[in-house]
Amino acid sequence: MRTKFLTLIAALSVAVLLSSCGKVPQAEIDAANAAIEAAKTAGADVYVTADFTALQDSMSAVTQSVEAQNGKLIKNYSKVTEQLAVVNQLAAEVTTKTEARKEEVKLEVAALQTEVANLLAQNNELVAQAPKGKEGAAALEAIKGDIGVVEASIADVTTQVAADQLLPALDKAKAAKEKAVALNAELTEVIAKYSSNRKK
Amino acid sequence: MKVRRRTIAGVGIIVLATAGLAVWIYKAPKPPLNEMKMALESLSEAKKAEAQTYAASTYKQAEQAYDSAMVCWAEENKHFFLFRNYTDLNKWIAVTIEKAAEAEGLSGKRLKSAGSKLREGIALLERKIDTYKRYYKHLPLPSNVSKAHHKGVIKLSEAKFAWENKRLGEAEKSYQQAKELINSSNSKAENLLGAWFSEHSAWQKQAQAAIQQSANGKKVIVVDKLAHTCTVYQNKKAIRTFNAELGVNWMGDKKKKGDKATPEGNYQITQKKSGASTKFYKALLINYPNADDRKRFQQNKKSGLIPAKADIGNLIEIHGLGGKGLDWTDGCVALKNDDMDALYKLVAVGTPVVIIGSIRPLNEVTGKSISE
Repeated sequence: MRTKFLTLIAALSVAVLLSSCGKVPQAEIDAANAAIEAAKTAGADVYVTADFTALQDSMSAVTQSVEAQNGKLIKNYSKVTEQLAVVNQLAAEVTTKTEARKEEVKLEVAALQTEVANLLAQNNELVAQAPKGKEGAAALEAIKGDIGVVEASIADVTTQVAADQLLPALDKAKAAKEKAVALNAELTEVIAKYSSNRKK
Repeated sequence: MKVRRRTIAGVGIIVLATAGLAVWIYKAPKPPLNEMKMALESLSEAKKAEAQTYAASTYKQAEQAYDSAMVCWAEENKHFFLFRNYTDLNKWIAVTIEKAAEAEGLSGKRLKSAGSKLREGIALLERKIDTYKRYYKHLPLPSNVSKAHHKGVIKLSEAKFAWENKRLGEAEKSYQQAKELINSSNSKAENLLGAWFSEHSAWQKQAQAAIQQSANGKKVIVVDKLAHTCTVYQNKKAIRTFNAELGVNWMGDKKKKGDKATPEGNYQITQKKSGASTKFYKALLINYPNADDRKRFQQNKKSGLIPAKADIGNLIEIHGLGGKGLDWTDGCVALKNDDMDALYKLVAVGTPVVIIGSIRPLNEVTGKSISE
């Protein structure tokens, strides 16, 4: 009888031992959270929104798995550790994708800035060719004013790029280009009319 | 024999105890794993529907309910597994799913409504830009008005690009800025035009009198400044109409020398110039300033509207070298050289020249009454 009692105690001890052998992989959890935070700092929530949401959801699923293991008599966090490795990998991919997208936007903005700068130079040349003195210099002041608005807009683009506000900078650069093209057409038309009239 | 009975009894007790324990474990409450997954999925769907932005408070409630569910689960895990109770956890899961679904639906509706409002707003501003181009662009407006207009046009483009890229928040922000700039420039331009048109009934009378004057076969020139036309009437009929370019500040009457305004009033041709006598191809000099102009000039001086030392100016002509597509003169009326040739042949010294703001009323010009 005494032996059986001891056996039961031993069995219970083994059970208790087994239940406490699995430990929450806290270091891996912290690393995954840090990787997600790094992705966010890189701008993943802005530049690759859907990927970032998926990453956050993966981490939430891991938290649920941890809690599910916490509730078991015999805990086993090996699957959680595997999931965390996947989250870490995903976070790194999202960060890389974010950087790539940002670089893409930066290049697009830079190309637009160059295009607008060229158009503005062309517009300033056209203004120089336009009628002088009494014949229209004052009227051309208005067009010069418009060119000034585009120049101010493109200067804002540079400020936004420096502040890492790339998407608003892209919108602004596209809008500036649209306006610069319209001004170019307007100036060309004025000069063409002027030239054709002078020939007569 | 005794030992065998005891063994059988012991084994029986152990079997019974194990069976009892097994039943107890089997009957023990299980954590709602699938339901927790569903709660997470519902939050994720709400996020995809941009509920964080467009149904922020409902989404926050869903998120808080999910956090409470996780806390509840962790609390229950601290109890021995046979004594756990997941009633509260299930309750929080239900709240999460319900609120997340509500946030998703609400966000969808609001997104749609915000989108259609933005689309309508952009369309309205585009119409206002068109109105500006058609009626105000060629007016000699103060530079701050045209600057505001152009800034507004650029802002509206920014709003459209952000909208195309599904960044509704930024699109709305740019749209609001564009709206303010475009409305302000249109309204200032409209007010200036409205103030100028206060003279409209006088212009109409002048124009009617001029047309009447042409009844006996006499030729009369009517310059409509807003329409930028120079029309020759004979026997009450317009026999020729030419496009005209005016002084840089053509809107409003001429007040003094150098204001680059084209005068308004009843004049007549005093000299026909061609060849070396003019540098503007051909020219028809008119008798500006006339008696009315001199009287008004003195009144303006007295009232301090113009400086005491101001000069009234002279040498207002209808001349050539026009067709530039701009208003560029110091106050003269410029026609294309071909048109100038035609007009030069039609008229003579003494031909009346009536210069008015506009024959058409303002509501016809802008498509609406100024008081609207």
